[in-house]
Amino acid sequence: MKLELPQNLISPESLKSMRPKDKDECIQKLLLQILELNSQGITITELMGQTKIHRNTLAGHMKTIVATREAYEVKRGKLSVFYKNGKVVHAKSTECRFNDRFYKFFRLKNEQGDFIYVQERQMDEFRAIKVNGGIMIKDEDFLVFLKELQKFGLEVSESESEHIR
Amino acid sequence: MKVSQNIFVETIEEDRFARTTRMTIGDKTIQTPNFCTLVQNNIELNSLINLSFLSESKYLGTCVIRVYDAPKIIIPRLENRKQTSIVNLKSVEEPFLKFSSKTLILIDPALEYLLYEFHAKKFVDAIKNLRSTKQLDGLMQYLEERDAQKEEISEKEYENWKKAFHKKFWYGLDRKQQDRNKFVGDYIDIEVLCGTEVILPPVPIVDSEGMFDIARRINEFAKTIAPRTKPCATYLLFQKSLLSNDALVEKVIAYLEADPTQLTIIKIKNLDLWTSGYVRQRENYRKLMDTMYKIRRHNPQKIFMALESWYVSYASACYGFNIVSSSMNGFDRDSDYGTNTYGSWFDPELMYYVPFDELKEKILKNTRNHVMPCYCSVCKSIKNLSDVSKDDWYRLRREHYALTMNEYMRMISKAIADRTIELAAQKLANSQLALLQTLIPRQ
Repeated sequence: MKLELPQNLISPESLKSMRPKDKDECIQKLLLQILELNSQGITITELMGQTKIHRNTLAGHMKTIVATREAYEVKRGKLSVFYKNGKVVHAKSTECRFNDRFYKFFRLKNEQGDFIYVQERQMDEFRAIKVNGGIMIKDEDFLVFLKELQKFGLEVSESESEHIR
Repeated sequence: MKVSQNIFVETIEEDRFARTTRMTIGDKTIQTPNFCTLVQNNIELNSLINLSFLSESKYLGTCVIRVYDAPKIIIPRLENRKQTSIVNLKSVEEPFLKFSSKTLILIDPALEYLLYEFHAKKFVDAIKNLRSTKQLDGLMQYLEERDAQKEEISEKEYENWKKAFHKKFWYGLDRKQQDRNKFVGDYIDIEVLCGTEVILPPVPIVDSEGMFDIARRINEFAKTIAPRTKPCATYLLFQKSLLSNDALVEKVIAYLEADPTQLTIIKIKNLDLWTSGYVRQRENYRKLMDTMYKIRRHNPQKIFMALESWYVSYASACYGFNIVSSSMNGFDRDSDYGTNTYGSWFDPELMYYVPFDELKEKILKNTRNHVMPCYCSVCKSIKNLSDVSKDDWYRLRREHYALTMNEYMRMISKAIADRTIELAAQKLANSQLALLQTLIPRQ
């Protein structure tokens, strides 16, 4: 699929003439611009084809953007699709921690509406935090979602206890 | 969370060609029209910090420091902010921290001093002090070569050589993409190190279309590499000859119209529009402000800021610009000034300077109880002008000037809210700057 690209797309030659630090900032800014223009999501392969930037470079920077929560990644089988995250409107986020895995809650606002954003994070062996993924639930659907989740949780625990008996 | 910092502009009131807005950058909000004080030393910064705690100083929300002043003014404060006083267990820089939590601080790259030499020594020392190894090598080489040449040739020859060498430096930089990119990146690093909250691209001083093209390219490149945690402005720095060059003015207008950047900062060095013969210059300045007004109508998120706008600050704030700036003593021309004389006092009614001796005479002759002819809190605090020492006067006249500009901004805001912006323009007609009233539309 053809991506919509910003008008002032930087050429790979221009990137070569930059200091490494500037190159990083420039690519990340470019990725954010492309994400903004393509709300349907983008993949690394699509990006590589149109920006002529190496796959590993793109994947590395996309990972950084996802880690800083400026974008998020949805895995569909082997394919990773990246989306631009909305604006965080609730600055004081809370979290729920289970050993090295924890869930952080944010309130997000984007063009599709207001969301509650649950982000799954994990601390690796070097104590670096990486973002594994997340789900966004629309504000108006949240209570229904919570009820269904609770119901599902109860069903699971009941069937587990029956299985043990 | 790392969030790209955009500028949010909300129009509060509008009256014909003028508007008041609320501008938010990160966690700071300022109301426009606003006065941005150019701070040149620690006394001025301390004065501005004291003024910022006054309830009346609502329109002094921004301050600008030139890069060569930063090592003495701002860097020590940024370094000391984590030092705790043993007396009150608060940071030793508590007043500065409070001030900086609500004031937008900008660092001006001040690259006009590659051509002008008034602050040459300060500039060279600051760059040496701020840069780390291999940063800005080309710039250092330029400065060293310029200094060496100064001693070798006659003064007249040197002036011509300097202009040509300055042009050669910028054209050379522009030709080699890698060098230009490194220069821009290094300079932005220095601005960030000095604590700027908005990136001002390091552009050359423009006197021709060729130099303008270089400035344009640097602006565009700076936006691609500036840290996304800070907004990057479009910065244009001109020699005053811009206003007598119609073709260049047209080119600038076309660029402003096409530029999508939210914040545009314009500095016209040694701006002079109040001399009676400068009709063409006033017309061209008006043309620039007309363009800004049109752009704002089309895109209300746009903000224009004028640096070193001197006597034109008031007229600029009424019409084209949202933020205006001048030095704290009111003079925006490089000159030797110090504490060993009693400097002039800015008369809020005349909108012009009155020499100290004239002021003293005026007070003795015309006012009861010999009070200062001004209602600002600084002037009210002066009980007897004859008792004021030179050092105190140095500080007081600066504080008075900043508060006067604050009062002008308040007056413009009130006139917009009352839908009587023509009265704000009328103030110019009754002052020594009556010639500048043509800069503001009548309707």
